Amino acid sequence: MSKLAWKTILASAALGGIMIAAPAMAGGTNASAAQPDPGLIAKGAKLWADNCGRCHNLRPASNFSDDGWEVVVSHMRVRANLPGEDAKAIKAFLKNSN
Amino acid sequence: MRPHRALILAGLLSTSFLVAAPVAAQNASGDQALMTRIEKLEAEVQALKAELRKSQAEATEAKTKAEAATAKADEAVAKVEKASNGVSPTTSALGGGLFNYRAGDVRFHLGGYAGGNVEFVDNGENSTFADVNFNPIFLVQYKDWLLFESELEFETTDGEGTKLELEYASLDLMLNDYATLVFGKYLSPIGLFQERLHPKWINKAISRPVGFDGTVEPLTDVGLQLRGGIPVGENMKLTYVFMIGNGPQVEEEGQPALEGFGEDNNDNKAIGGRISFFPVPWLELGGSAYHARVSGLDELSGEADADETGLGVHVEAVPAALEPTNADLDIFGAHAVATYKDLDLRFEYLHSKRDAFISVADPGGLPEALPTQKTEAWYAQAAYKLAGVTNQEFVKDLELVARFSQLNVKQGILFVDDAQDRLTFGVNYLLAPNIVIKVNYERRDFDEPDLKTENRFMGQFAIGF
Repeated sequence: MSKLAWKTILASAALGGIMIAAPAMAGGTNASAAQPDPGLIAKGAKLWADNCGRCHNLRPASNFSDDGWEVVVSHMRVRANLPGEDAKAIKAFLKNSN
Repeated sequence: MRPHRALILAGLLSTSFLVAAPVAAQNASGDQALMTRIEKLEAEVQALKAELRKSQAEATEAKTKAEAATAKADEAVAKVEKASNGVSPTTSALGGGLFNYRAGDVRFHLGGYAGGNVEFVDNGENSTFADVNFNPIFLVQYKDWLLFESELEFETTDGEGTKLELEYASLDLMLNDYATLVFGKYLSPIGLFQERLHPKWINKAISRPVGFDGTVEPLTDVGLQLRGGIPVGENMKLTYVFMIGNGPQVEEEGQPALEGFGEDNNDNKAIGGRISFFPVPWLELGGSAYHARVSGLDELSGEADADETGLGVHVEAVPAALEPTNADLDIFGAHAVATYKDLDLRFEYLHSKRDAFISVADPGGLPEALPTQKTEAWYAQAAYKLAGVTNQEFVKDLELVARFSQLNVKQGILFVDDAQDRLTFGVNYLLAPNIVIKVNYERRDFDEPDLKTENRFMGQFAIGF
């Protein structure tokens, strides 16, 4: 791939990333544990079974604390390409069940 | 007095009429107002009744919805319990990570995995304990939009000593619900095995599928990724990973090492990606593509000084006709995954082509013409947890595994001795969802006629934490 081409891609990705990220960062939350609604927990349970079990055996919710699941699910969100809303629902289910 | 009486009577009558007329008129107007008020009240009562009926209907509907949601939640939890091999999400199991810490907006988690093998081979090699590894994973999260993740690998080597490698170390910026920007050293997203399945406690078999070990499937790269998932309709989903990295570099035998290098030696970045589509939650269909350019070397880095060996291979000493050249390296592949209840089915295919080029292939050697290399690898794997058919103690914690993998050299001189058919059968005993003891039998039939077929019996202990 030519130098110019990859530099263009790189610059576009970086610029695009900053433009998209700015509002997200400005509105970033503290990942606080607000009381989730039962619908979100039910959705999270189903998403957990569907997504996490695709690669590995399901880990019981009791494996990690709330803070542990917060970070572990964020890690798996990136690895498994989970949409943010799905990761949020899975976190709600696991934190509610541990 | 009679006339007077008559007059008095007449006066009284007329007075009565005069007084009664407005009173009668007043009574008629009062009735009308009363009627109007009654009608208004009746209308209000009807409206209230209608509102009450509506509220009752809404309450009934809400109750129905709540009951449906409860049933759905119960069903989901039951599904999770079953899928997690009978371990209730609320029961305790060995886990919890090694360490958790939180300070304000920053959370730290230390987890990872470890394992070790024992192998018996019938080709005259010694039986051996091998591949003992410990891989700590460090995760640091700031708020809910920034994550640093890193994995180290400590692994025993064939000789004495221990190998230490940085598997990955990346900063992940979650741009929005559908996109994450990854910067650093990352596991290659080309194919699925390396990125998702290679940890021992996750891999259903003991060995890797042949070819999915850096031969055809790249292992790591250093650069940027843009990745995420996008819901499509109610139940479908699309996921993507696009990457740009330093790309591979030529190592011994002219083989491009498909690993993440800390610097780019030819200013040509590798690009690639993977896309998956989920038509239903239990089925994943997708493909990968990758393009890089490798540069021939005038000497192999880290090798003995050319002046000391007397086999100098500095550029100025190389004949013009054999000056190193570049070659394109292209990889493409497809994958399909079906995980339905206790059944796990997987298929992956990767094809690699590196053009002919000129490079030093042997330490201390001169640049030589290396022919085009075309290699393909694929595997099909099935695994089934017996918890799906029995609740019997011990048996319900077993998982049966079968895998066939193949490495074919379609053209070229590399990997010829590695080309083989590899058939694996295994039984896994799940002490917990994250702790497994595996027993495998594996038969390796090599394409090279001089290489004898191997029968391997292997055992493995693995844990994720």
